[in-house]
Amino acid sequence: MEHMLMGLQYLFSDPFNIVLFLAALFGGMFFGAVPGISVTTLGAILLPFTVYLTPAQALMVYGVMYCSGTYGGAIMAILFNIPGAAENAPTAFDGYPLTKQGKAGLAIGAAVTCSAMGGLMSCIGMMLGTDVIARWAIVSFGPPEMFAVIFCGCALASTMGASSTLKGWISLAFGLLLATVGADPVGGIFRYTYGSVGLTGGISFIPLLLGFFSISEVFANASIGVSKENIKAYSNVGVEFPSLRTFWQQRVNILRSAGCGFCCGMLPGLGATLAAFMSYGFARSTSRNPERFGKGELAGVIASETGNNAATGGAMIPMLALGLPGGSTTALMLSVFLLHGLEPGPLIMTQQTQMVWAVFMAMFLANCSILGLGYVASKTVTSLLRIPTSFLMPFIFVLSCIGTYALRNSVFDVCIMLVAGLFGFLVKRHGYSAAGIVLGSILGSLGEAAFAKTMQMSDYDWTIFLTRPFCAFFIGAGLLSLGIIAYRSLKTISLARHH
Amino acid sequence: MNSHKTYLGEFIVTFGIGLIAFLQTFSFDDPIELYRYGANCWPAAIAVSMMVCSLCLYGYRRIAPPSKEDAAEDPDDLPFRKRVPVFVIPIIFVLLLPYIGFYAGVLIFLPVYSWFLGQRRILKTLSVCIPVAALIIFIFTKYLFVPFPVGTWAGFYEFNSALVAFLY
Repeated sequence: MEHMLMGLQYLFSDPFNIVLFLAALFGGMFFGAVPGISVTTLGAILLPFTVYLTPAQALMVYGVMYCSGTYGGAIMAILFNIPGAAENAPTAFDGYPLTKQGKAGLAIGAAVTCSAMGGLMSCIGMMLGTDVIARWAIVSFGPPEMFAVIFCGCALASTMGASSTLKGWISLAFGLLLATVGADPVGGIFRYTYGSVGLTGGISFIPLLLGFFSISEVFANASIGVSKENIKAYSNVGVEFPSLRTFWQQRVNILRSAGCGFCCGMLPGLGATLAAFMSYGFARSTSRNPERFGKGELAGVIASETGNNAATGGAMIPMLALGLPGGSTTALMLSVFLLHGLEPGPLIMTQQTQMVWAVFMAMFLANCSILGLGYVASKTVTSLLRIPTSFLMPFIFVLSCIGTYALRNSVFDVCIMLVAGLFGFLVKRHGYSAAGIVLGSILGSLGEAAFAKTMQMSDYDWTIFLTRPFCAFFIGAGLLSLGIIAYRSLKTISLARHH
Repeated sequence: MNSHKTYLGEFIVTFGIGLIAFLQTFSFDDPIELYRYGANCWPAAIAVSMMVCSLCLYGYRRIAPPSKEDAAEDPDDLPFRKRVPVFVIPIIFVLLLPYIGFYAGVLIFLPVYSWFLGQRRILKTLSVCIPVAALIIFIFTKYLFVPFPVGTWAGFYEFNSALVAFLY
């Protein structure tokens, strides 16, 4: 308690800290909402300027941006089926169908509230558990566990957004294949590069994400005639918070998603993306009506948004206590440490207590603020629905090009994005999963590296996946999930043939 | 019959991608001293999985009745001749980007694409698109320091360079 008060006292002792807090809150949300221009971009731009701030101020800015940015991408995902970042992709699966049903306000209200709840729960976990969890992770978490978690995540998320199980698996396999382009993680041998300089660096997931979601949606919207009835229906969208009864009915979903998000956030390199997909996957697998997911099921929005915001607190734990970034934003925070001559590690909690708790309290307040901020910002963003498609789609296309180009200053990446957009347009029409392709491309290289390290450290003994408890649990969960998906699919097929 | 042609086409594409990817793995099957499985086992396993799933999907579709979700055409689609510019104009923009530069490209692309998407009032189109393009260029160049391509073609290079010099 005294640490919390110490953090709050630091936060409010200087009015400039409050200004920084508000700027980070709005800036993170705005950048998180614009496709391709993520919080990471904003963080990279601000990094040199953090030299003029104290370490606590700099870390506070990044922590707050992380929380608000993760929520910001949800609005675009719900309204336009264009997620601001990969972790908002599952939100679009059910958020966008809800918008088409005229329930955009309800979806946004659920996203706002659940983002705040997930973030707050993970903040509490972060405050209570950083020290203990870090000590456990340093001993018990290694490449086999990393591979097991990735396998479980792929198994749970494999059929999301696809019209059938096999199409989902084909999409995921294609994404995993795309991740193999470039140099292999062990020997550096080039694969599928065909002598192209652009491909030797591999295919980044940002062009794929923007292509499959943003550009394909631009093509889809531009190639249909938008009727005046549709414009009228969208123009009166307001934020509508779900009732307390709804939250009570979804309590298990919310708690499970928060726990899943917090644990996934702790895993280096995976962070909020896996958290969102796994939370969504668990919600669908355990639902009594899994067939409703993907067609406007509010539980899907709740699971995804709770999970991805819950990852923010989890990601801080390995960064602070071990010096391992949980994602790209925490990697930037690590740079802040280095710029100020600090060293993250187990001693940071005792040597820099005030700084650490100031960051914790800033993130706690940021998650509280999402409720109010989300309401105000959502009203502003929903007015975008009144912009005619003939203006909005070209703007989104240009912003996506900028976001892709800014990644590596490469027009080749923009070409990749365009090809992905065309492919995504066709893929979605035939019932394949763009999300599965993107997820495979994100997790593929991490999974392969983890697998290779596991084989080398176990001398190619595959039983290592079963002898380590954490590993065996996730491998088992993944196999069980695949079994349940296959069983449900076969049951549907036999019912269809019977009729 | 039409749906069977679609299924066959999908099968050829998905199975073909897996097959090509699998065959290509033999071109980078050099052994790695520290790693028994080499650089090709992982992509080969994924490619084989993709081929198996494609085969199973095609086999199921041959025996199962057609599903509504397999319909590829949206009844709200614009006529074909109106849909062509929707795809062709962005392709032309991206292909010309290294030659005409980003700044001139965006100033041309936005009003042209809006026109082809249905905006028929020229003055309104220009009065919306040009200021928005200018705002995007201003923010991303001046404050976010994104080094957009300035192009190589005569005229466009001078225009883009002059714009960048003006902003800085």
